[in-house]
Amino acid sequence: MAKHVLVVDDEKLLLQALVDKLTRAGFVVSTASNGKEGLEAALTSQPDLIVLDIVMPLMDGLTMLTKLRNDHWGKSAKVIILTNLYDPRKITPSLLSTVSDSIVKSDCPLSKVVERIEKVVLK
Amino acid sequence: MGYRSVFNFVAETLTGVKASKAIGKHYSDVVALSLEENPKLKVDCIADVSTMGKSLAMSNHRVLIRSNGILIPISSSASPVRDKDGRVIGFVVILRDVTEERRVDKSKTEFVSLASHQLRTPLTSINWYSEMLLSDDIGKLSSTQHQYAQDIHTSSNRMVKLVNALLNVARLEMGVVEINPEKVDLSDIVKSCIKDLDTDIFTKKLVVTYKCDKAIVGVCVDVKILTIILQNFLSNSVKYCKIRGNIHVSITKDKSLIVIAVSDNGIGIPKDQQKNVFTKLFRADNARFVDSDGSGLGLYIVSEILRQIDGKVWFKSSLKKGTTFFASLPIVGRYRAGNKGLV
Repeated sequence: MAKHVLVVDDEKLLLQALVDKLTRAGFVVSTASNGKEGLEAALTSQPDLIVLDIVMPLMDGLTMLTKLRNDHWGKSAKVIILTNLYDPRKITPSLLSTVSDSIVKSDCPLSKVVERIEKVVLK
Repeated sequence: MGYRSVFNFVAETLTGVKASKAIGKHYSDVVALSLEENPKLKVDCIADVSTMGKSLAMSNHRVLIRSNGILIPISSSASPVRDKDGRVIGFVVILRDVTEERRVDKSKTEFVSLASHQLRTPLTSINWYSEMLLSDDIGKLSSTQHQYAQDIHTSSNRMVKLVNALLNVARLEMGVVEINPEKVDLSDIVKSCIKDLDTDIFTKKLVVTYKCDKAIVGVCVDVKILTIILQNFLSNSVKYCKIRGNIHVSITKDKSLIVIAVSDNGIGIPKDQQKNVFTKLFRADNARFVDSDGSGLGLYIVSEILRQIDGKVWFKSSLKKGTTFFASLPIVGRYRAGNKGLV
């Protein structure tokens, strides 16, 4: 069965590019445009992977991740951080250690993003 | 001791207390200092000088609490005043209002983080969509369409590199770079830097070889820093080599230093321009001619990084024969806290 990926990003164009590319790669993709929506969607639909941006309105990605980790299902949900903020070291190490991968958008071709997503989901 | 005898006009303006009211009072009744990050915590501006008996420039990020409660960022220093027998008979305290400096610092830092995020977002968009066009995701492009999409993609990638270089310059110049040495395998870093340039190496039919001294085992360096040095040296060699040119990377140990050398048989650097090679934005005439895209920031960044980690950079070059760039850095790197990494 096709794997379900939830992409949480407030940048419409980047979100659309990810949806298009992931759909063509055979994933079922759903989206949310901020951490608040993302958290609700994640807890309701329990996707196989959450691709999470950091800087977003209403609720940022790190707050969403913290809340997600407090949930019974969410504490072991697979998450990849996909951001244009450098320095993942700025993220609390204990929180960073709970994610499967972190990618800097502008340094990573879309095809490589998909490869890294596939690697995590299919593991 | 500690009773005020001189109080100038600026001190009146800063503290909001008239000299006539301040003179004769104990200093702590007039000058209230605290810490920027915790204004509730009072700091004594003279106590340390008084116990140690020598001049002290106080650490930054102190604030003066004006009589009306407003906080003013200050830099301060205090010195004991002695009589002819060397006994401390009083103190001179100098307070300087640094509101403007703090404002500039803050806007610089904000600009860097804004640039880091906001400039990259549209660039990522251009990169990803042009990449989808190029990979024929939505149908095959004609050769001209393909070429145009390729040009967009190349330019956008160039822009990402430029943004990264500018951010590195800003961070290095602001002194906020964190240096984080870790145990690494140097040959892995060399290999990955060469791989990044694969396309150009292939197109120009270059021969790239490397040798890492076996004596270098378990060295501690900051991977990002080493990568930036190697990437800059290597990409210059690739740019300025002729078709079928040779590039050699060697990493050796010299006492307590790692020495990186990247040599090529490229166009070389004109003798009269060699002194400017590490100057920000400088590009040699022949370099401009061969490659009009360079930013003139790469070697400046390398030299600035090495200056900050007690390393060195130098080169040998002869025109039309080739160039070797060298960098040396301490084997056991020094950790430095900072609030930003290099990109």
